[in-house]
Amino acid sequence: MSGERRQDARDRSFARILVRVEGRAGYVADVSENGFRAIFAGDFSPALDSPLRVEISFEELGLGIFPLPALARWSKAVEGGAEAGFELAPEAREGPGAGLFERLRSYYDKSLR
Amino acid sequence: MAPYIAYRSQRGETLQLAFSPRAEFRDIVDSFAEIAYPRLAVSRELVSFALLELVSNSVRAHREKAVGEEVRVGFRAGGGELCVTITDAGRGFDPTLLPYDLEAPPDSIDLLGDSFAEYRERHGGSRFGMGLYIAKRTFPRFRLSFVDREGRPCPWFSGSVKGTRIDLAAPLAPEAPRPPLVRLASESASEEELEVLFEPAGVLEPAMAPLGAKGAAR
Repeated sequence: MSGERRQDARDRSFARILVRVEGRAGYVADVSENGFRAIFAGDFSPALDSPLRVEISFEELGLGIFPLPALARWSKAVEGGAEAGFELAPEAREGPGAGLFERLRSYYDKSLR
Repeated sequence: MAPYIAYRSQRGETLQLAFSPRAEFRDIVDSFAEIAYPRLAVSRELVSFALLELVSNSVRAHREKAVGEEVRVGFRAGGGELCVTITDAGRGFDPTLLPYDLEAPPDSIDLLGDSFAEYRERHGGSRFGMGLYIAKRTFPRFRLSFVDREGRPCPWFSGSVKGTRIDLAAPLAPEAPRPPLVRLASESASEEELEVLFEPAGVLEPAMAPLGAKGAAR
């Protein structure tokens, strides 16, 4: 699968993402209620449909690094990097990351665009 | 056709933006989404996010040091490159406190290494410390220097650092082949008289996924 599958509304965003194990860093490019799209510097093909240890940071809103279990649903190469779509893992909805992710989403939901 | 950059109603080979340290960050994000770059050999989104990270660093430095001056970002398209210069008055920073050597090739940097873990700990778990790293990966030409009050380069340890200047360049994509010239067929005309050229429209692409925008830069 190599393309966006989310049907819910998306808000443009900027936050930092680090996928542990693979050691890939990038940015959360847009967020929706159930997931996000991220863009990475360099090659990256995350394992699809299995939980990944993802960490997000958005210190502009005072959100330090927080873990957010997520499943990569698609990925594709872009010039100089890669992008991937992530769905929040079921366990993410009960963990502390859920509330912080919601704060991130709601910050960009208030964007003036 | 010469490459150009567009932003709102502006269009040209150069673009200057200035961001107040008091700007709401999501408005800065929206401002970057309104920049239309010429076609690049690197992902436009990656370019914009790498720049946003650097601008965020500068804005944070201005806020921490109560500097009211704006953070300036200059773009220039030409010579087969998109060149960007970010200039702040945030008093610089000690490069030895970064979790990697700024001169090291990006591929040699291990984001999961001990130095990054120490960096995170030092900053209370709030920062990955990867902003300059991603900028280096995204822009093949990267140069960071500290500048004094007159804008002259000066070493960090000189005690006269007013701010940081970062010069970056990413290659433009090779021009697409032009559509064939259209010729008006006329049996009576010589070949030299027949050319009618249709200039292909210039190609501009939005910096980020098109969701619409209203931003903070002026």
